Amino acid sequence: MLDTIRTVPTPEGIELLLKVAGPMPRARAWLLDLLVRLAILTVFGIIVGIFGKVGSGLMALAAFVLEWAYPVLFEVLRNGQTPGKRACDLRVLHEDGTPVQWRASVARNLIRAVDFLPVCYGFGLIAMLLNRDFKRLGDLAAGTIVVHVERKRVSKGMPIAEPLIPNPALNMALNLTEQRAVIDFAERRATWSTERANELASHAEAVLPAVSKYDTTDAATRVVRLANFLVGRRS
Amino acid sequence: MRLENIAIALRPRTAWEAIDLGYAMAQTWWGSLIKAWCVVYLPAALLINVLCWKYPPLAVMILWWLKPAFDRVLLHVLSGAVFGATPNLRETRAALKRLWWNNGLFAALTYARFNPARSFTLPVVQLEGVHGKLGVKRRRVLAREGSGAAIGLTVMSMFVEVTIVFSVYLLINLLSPGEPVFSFSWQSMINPEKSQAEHYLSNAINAVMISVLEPFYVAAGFAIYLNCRTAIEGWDVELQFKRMAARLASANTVNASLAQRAAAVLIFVGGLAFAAMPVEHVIAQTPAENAAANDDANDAQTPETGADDAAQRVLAAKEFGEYQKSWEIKYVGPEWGGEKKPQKKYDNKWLIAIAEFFAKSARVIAWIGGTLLVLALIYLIARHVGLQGWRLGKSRDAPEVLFGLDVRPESLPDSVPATARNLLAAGDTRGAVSLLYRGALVSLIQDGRIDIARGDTELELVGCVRQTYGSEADGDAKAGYFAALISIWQRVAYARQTLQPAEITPLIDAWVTHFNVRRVASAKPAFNGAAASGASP
Repeated sequence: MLDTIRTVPTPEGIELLLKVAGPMPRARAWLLDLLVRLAILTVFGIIVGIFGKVGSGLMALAAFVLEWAYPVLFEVLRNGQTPGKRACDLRVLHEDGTPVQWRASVARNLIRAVDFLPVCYGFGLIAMLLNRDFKRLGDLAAGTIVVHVERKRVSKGMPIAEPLIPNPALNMALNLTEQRAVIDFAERRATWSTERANELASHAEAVLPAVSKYDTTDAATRVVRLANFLVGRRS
Repeated sequence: MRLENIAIALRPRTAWEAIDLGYAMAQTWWGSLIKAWCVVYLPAALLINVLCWKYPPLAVMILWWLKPAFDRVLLHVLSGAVFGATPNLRETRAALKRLWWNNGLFAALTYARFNPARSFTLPVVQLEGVHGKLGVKRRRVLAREGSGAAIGLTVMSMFVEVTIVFSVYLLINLLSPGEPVFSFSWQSMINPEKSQAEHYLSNAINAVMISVLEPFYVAAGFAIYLNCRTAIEGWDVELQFKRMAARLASANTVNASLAQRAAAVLIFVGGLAFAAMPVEHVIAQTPAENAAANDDANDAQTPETGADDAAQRVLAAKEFGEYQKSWEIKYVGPEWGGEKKPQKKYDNKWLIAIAEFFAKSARVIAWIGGTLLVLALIYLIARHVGLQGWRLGKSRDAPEVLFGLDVRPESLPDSVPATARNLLAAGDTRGAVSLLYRGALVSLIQDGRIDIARGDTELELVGCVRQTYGSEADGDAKAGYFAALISIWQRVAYARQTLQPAEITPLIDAWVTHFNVRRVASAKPAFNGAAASGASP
């Protein structure tokens, strides 16, 4: 199954799932950061213009600091996210899924200069296309990875219904993936038309208890009720 | 299309994650994609370049315009690969007619060429085969989910393409000795006389780079499309349900009624057209038009170019463009003698004076403000980064009252144990313990190694003592004594228990070995037992 997820096993026996981010979302985040930095520099330039020559010196310093320190400071102190990355729900991590620290962040952002060659991240892009984790040269050197983070889901949750016990004739329990699929169905039920929902639910008919011929509730509703049972509601 | 054969993991993704999946798809099936692409694109590119031999930039433009036609080949291979049947070269070649003929290609190459969500609508047209009004409706339904990212993808892919091509130009320039191979002037792009070799080289680079990038673009668009349908139609749930049903059916005697849904059909309607491509059109017109254009350009430019060349020759001579650096010491102070200063023209001096005053004071204020800002920034950063023990100003003054107790050294009698013993003998248990406790606190404060804050609790204090003195020889004994003292004090002061003098005497005896109060003030205030302070902890 092709996916962009990398799993990192932890000593506790838990598998961390890292959704690696590719060139396009990262370019988008970089563009946003570029805008932020230009805005800061412009405002700073206007203020510092008062100081004359000292001002232009300060301006040069600010440009230097913004170029080199901005990504590092944000990545280490702000959860691996520069403002642009934050807006695009991206985050920098070590390859093992731990938060990025000074050493790695400094390394990846210094090598940014190499990635930028010959113009506007030519080498960086080629590097990203050549490896499965979409790492640019800086990431390869620093052992870091850029991942998608999940934004807090604004889900309405599943519709509440009277819980339905799975078919008693089944002599095996639903495994975790199957339970998740049933719950997923209930949570996303509202996004489908009734026809499509029933069509989907008909594939799960085997799990549902046999219906008396007077029961007119459709398959979709019964799967939703089953999901209610699975999340622990009891009548 | 059978969902069971799908080779990508189905799960709800954001559109941008889907783009990443597309890139991963292009990486995975790179071999098949590039083979199919080369079989179609390279001959076409060669042909068009040969036909436009007089005006090579036109070839680039035509090839760029025809991209949707080539993209269809990539999508054909990709859709096969995703559903578990990657077509080989022969199958792809056989499918070409079906891909190009009567399958919306005409629209794609004309009015839909500038559709910014091109890569995303292509699967709707090519794989679902819905055109016309129905197609518009279908695309609108899907577009709700993914067209934003699809437009972003197209725009950024455009930038990426330009970037990569220029990267290669620049790299060649950087690595080649002598004159730069590519001159980035606008003139060189337009003027065909400049250098044919340069044009052909740049066309070749263009073709190679587009070949590298186009599979990624098409795959990303296709992935957005798949992601939309996964969300809208619940493909992932369907797949899981089908697998669940299969597992249960194989393991159960229950007669599961597996309603096999008819798979969505990929309609590839045959036909004929491909509009014989506007290429022919171009072929018919180009040479004549080109010749005319060239003549015009030459006529207009010849005299100017001649003068330019002459000027360049002169400027290139040794006498020009040579820099010399020399220096001398020169007096720049005020003039000797009484040479008159030039009269100022302005008579509104007062206005200038006021303006100057404002400017100067603004500058001073700005300097002060700037300095303060920098200081504040340093302070904030230091606090934020968490440099511990880093404080502005001097260390805190010793507290005068702790836990409601007066802990000024002056408030203590000369000899703490002796006075405590007297109090105990007089029956004032509470006063005696209070005195010992206050004495211990004053001693700790004077020692200055424990930073006692006003809000610390007694147990925190015990912890502090243990931490600070624990490493010393008698540290454990000291901490133990202090803990015992505090527990006695809590029983007396808080629990209001009546203690036997025998419990307190050992504490009084051991006090001197652990604590010591230095006298600071000579004037000793009258000591009145446990003091009001001890009564209300």
